[in-house]
Amino acid sequence: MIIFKNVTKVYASDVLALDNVSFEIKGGEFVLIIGRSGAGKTTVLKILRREEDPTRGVVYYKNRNLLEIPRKRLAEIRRKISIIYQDFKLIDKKTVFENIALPLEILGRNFSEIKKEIWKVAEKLKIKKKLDQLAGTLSGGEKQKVCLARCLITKPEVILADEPTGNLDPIASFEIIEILKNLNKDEGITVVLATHNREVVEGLKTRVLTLNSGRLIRDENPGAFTLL
Amino acid sequence: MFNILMKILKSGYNLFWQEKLITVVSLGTTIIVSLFIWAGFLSFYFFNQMINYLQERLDFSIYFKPGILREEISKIQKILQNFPGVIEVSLITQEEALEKFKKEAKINPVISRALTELNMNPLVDYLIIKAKTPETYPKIIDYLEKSPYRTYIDYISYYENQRVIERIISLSNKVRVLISLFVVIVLILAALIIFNIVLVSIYSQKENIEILRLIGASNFFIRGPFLVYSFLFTFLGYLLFLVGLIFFFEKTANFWPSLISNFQPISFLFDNFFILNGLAFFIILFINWIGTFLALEKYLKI
Repeated sequence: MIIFKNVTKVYASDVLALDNVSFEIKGGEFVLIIGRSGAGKTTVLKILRREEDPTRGVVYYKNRNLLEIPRKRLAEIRRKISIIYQDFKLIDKKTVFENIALPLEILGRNFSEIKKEIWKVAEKLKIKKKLDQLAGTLSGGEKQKVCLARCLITKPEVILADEPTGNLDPIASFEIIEILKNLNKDEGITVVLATHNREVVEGLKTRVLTLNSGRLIRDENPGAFTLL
Repeated sequence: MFNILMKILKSGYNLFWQEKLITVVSLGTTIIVSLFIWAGFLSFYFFNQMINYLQERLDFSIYFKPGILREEISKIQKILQNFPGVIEVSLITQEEALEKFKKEAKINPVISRALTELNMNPLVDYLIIKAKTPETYPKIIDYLEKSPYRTYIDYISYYENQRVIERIISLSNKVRVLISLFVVIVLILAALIIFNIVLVSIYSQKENIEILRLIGASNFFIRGPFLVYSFLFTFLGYLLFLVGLIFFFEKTANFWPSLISNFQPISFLFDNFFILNGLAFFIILFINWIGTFLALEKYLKI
């Protein structure tokens, strides 16, 4: 589903973020990307959504060269490859409902359709009671759930998670990881999770890509290729 | 598409009320810029009036030699009336010239007595020529100097007024350049002020723009609300300015005619209501939208 081939990324200030990184992720996989801060985890995720372009190398998504997709059509890819962030990236002045509705509003869906979809997702993530609350007033764990709900509303094929537990307490972290596991298991959504949280890594017996100073130094698969 | 447009309109409207401080500053900026633009309009109008006033008082006369037949003079009058740029050619006959002279000389008993003693009309037929622009006069003179009718002419007053005419030509050209320069400077200042406030308003929404971009919003979806927002504060700001302008013109109505004769500000405003206000409004809106496009470009690169 995703092929990263000889990807190198050098930022403008001559910082080498990725150095000739190659890997392949199959549909339905749950993959962890680990490494210290600055190892290049976020850069991999950014390249996967074309938030950054690689300096060298190619990236394929479902056999399409991502780098050849015109900027105007990136929005489509970004709805298929959704992302959740450590800092949630919610609009604090909008309600939970409005935040989750955004991706469907962008698609021009009508209100009744949006409402129906939001109820389904909110039910699944147990945030129905929070729908009318302003996003800025939620706890970290709740915000991350809203973030996930916003991802799920467009029925993505891939969820990228950039340190999703970075700002959460252990209980909330566990809850989010459980949700991601279930989404992967029940709905076959490919999950790529970047983290440096040891507990998360140890709790998930799944494929691990280890980055160090921009280089892929390990690609381990402890037997269970996917969680499916 | 309808749903997207409705969402864009709603988001633009929400921006207007959410960012109250920026909205107030934007309204203030629109009012100041409107003031600049109207200062430009009024200067343009006043200078034009001044030049027109001077030009209207310009003319020259052709005095014919005694004994030249009226028919010949009428021929020349017709030719000059058809000359490009000529507004009016009036024939003053010898008799009319004398009448006029007598009227003007009434107050001077010496001249009146001299005319009575002379017992004849010493004056000649002449033509008064008025053109649209001072630039036309040298062309008429050039034509006359080369025409076969030159021998009928005794004297052309143009040479007497030549310096004044040339000065007025030069002054009107310089004033035109100055006004254009002033208008350009006003527009540049207006653009800079507006661009700054647009930058601030978009910067305050930086994170929201980034979020929208990351969840797959198109450029149109992101720009739309800002364009609606700009339209709203430009419209409301200009409306407030207009109310203030009408009030100001009402209160100072007596002052203006002493500055420029016959200038009635309220009539000026309402006679040209749609042209002037439409132009000012669209200039401000255009600068706002260009500013919005440029300021957003940076955030749309994600």
